[in-house]
Amino acid sequence: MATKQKTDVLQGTLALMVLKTLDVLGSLHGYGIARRIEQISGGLLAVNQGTLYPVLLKLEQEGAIASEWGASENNRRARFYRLTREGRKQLQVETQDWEQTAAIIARFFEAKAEDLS
Amino acid sequence: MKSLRRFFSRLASFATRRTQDERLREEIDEHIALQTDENIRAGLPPVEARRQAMLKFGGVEAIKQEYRAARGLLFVENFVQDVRFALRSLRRTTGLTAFVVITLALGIGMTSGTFSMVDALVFRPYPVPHPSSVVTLASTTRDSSFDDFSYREYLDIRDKAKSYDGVVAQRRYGSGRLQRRTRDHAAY
Repeated sequence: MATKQKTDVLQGTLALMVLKTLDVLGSLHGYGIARRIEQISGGLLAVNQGTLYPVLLKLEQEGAIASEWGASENNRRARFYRLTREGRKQLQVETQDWEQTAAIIARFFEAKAEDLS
Repeated sequence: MKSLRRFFSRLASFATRRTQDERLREEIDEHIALQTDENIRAGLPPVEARRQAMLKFGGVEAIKQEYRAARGLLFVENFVQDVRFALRSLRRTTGLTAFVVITLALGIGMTSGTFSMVDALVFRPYPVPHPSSVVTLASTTRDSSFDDFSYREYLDIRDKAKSYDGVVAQRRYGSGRLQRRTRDHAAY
């Protein structure tokens, strides 16, 4: 059960990373998104690149991203993903949520014993 | 709202699951090809480059599974698969199937036959407005505490008795005597 919870969290954050990547870089294929996430995280995020595709599908089903066929750098057919208006809104909301959560956790770490008295 | 939209999209992709599978396969191929190119540019020999690319991508089958689970209506898909499998298995063992079918048919037929008989004879009330006020008349004589009436007695009762709405006689097969079936409306 513990491993399941871990992947759940990971999936959630992965979705947020995908949204942010598409927000910054515009239309991108799966490989491009994977590369970008890898670069930004500095290789600390040890996820199989393949796990990205179920996340992309889920986001597309929710209407946060849209996809269409296009030609990749090596002139092969590739599926390009882009953020929709709804996806942009979702990104805003989730970014706020995330920052709030991070801020709260940070405050917990900073709190010292004397602050409580 | 989001989950509703997701459901409809799942429904749609359930109908087009072949092309969807195709799409994922193509995307994976493309992904691995791009990563392989990247690895070759980094100086790896082509075979090793491809191997590394696949390692990095992770278990393709596992991804496909997960993708499928997220894509369509997995339980419907599984159900359809199970039914197909069951039909195939049945076709393989024709003799056993026939035997089982006949056994079930006989079993169901016998039970429902018995029940409809009992239902018609015992449970069903008489097809008259007040089934509870239908009574059977019997006569009591010195010799016997329960006796039938003769036809003349029947005529007398039918014409003179005032307690009943009507009186009918019924011939009991085998006994050759007459029996009264009456409808009593003078609720007592």
